[in-house]
Amino acid sequence: MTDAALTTTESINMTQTRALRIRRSRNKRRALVVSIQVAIVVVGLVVWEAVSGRLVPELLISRPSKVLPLFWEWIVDGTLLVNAAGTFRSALLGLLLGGVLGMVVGAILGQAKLLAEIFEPFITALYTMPKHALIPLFIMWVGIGSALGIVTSAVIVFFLVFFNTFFGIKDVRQELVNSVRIMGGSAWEVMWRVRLPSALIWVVAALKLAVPQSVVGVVVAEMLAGDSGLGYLVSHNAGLFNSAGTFSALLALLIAGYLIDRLMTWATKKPLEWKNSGGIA
Amino acid sequence: MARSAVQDVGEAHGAIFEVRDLSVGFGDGDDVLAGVDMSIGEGEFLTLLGPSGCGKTTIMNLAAGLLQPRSGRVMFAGKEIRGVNTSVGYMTQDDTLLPWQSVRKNVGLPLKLRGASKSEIAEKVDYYLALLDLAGAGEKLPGQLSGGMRRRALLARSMIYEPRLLLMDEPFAALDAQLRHQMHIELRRTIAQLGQTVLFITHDISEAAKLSDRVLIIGGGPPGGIVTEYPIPFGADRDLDTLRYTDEYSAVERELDSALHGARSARASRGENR
Repeated sequence: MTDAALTTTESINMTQTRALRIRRSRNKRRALVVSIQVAIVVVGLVVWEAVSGRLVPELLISRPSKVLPLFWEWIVDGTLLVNAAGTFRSALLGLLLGGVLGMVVGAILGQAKLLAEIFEPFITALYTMPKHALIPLFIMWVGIGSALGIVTSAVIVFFLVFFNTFFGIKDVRQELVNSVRIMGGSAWEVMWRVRLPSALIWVVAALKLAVPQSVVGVVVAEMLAGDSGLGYLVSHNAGLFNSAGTFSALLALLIAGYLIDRLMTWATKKPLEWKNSGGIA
Repeated sequence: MARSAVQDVGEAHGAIFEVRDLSVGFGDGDDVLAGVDMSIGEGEFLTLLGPSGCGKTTIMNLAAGLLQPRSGRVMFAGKEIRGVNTSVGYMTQDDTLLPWQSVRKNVGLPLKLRGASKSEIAEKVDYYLALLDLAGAGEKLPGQLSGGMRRRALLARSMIYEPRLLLMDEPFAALDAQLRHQMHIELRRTIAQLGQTVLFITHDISEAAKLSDRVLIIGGGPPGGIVTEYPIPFGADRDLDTLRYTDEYSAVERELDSALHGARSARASRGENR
């Protein structure tokens, strides 16, 4: 019995040692990756600083020693916060509007074959139009300001979410649908328990694209006809040949875009856990 | 021992599922099955044995109400089936566990859909998970289970709402021989415990011989039909571990093999003549 107990203890110790070794190896690798990434940024900034005003006119690319202090100044005086808040508020509203509409229409047409046959070609035709070319029309409809950004981003998001939901719902395995119907599920329950979860991976893929695209829609609208927002900061500073201001605004967009992508990856991890476990739908 | 003509003994002990003068086809194509008469009695384990593509699954889908016949009558508990039949449990060869739900939620789903209370669902799920040796796997996702465990989870989900008829379409086809034998033992034990009526499909002779009370051999087409009926002489309390080594079992296998060979030949020659 003592031997058995020792064996168990030894086995637990070995497992813990192995886990510790794996964790250490992972941490080492992560540290290496981060070090290289930091080195790339530092080298990039040094090269940028070196070539600016020497190989490339400063007017065109500014220099980090001017961009970063201005960026900090904008953070401190609230310029960045006010403009970023306006941009992201419009992007969020556009995302909600376009996303919900895209999901609802996609889910309905994904289920109703006749309706899909009738409407899908129209939606596809509209989708092929460059959305940014519609901005002048939207200006006529809703004027300039935040409404323009919301409508532009909603239109962009709608198509992305619609197509993914539509094909996701259509592609659901018929055996899953049949099994739930035989178990006593109604059409609504089949939709709720089979079609929507099955389409979720498509919808999530769409959202990963739609979230940054909603920001792009707002920024483009702000650049073309805005009086505030990050897009406005970019175009306003570029119009004044203030390259440090332009790069500061672009830096804000770069950081925001990266953070949004990380946020989406984190937010979609849990709902798609089953996919990573090897499940098929 | 094999019978040359179909004898419908199912009706004799109270038919739960009956098919009369059935013909089925798809689209504008020829009939897949024609002139089929069969029934299955309460508590019976009936197997449809036949070559691939002979129409076995078609009969299953008719029983589940997923398909309508071209002509003839398809009855369940004395009533014609006109839509999805929610009184059956259907275990196909495909994995139909919802991959985004835990095993526990999957197994309890039919009860939830039927409006059972939370406590009733919990109690029955516990019972069926224990019955099928899945007690420790309830919180896992289907993708985290082995093939055999997934099959057992499907069996639990198909039985938990106590369907009057359990349809099993080659449910163990994807498993290796050893695991399949284990599943056979568990299936016989479970259905004996619950008195479950089963309509089973296979093209595996030994599976039909081990599990069934009666075997219908399908073939002779297209259009196919029931070629022969074969009652299996082993009792309900058969021991599958020892049965497969007996002479009686070997004799049954041989006769089923010969009958199945006849069905295949008839099908092939009719196919050539068309």
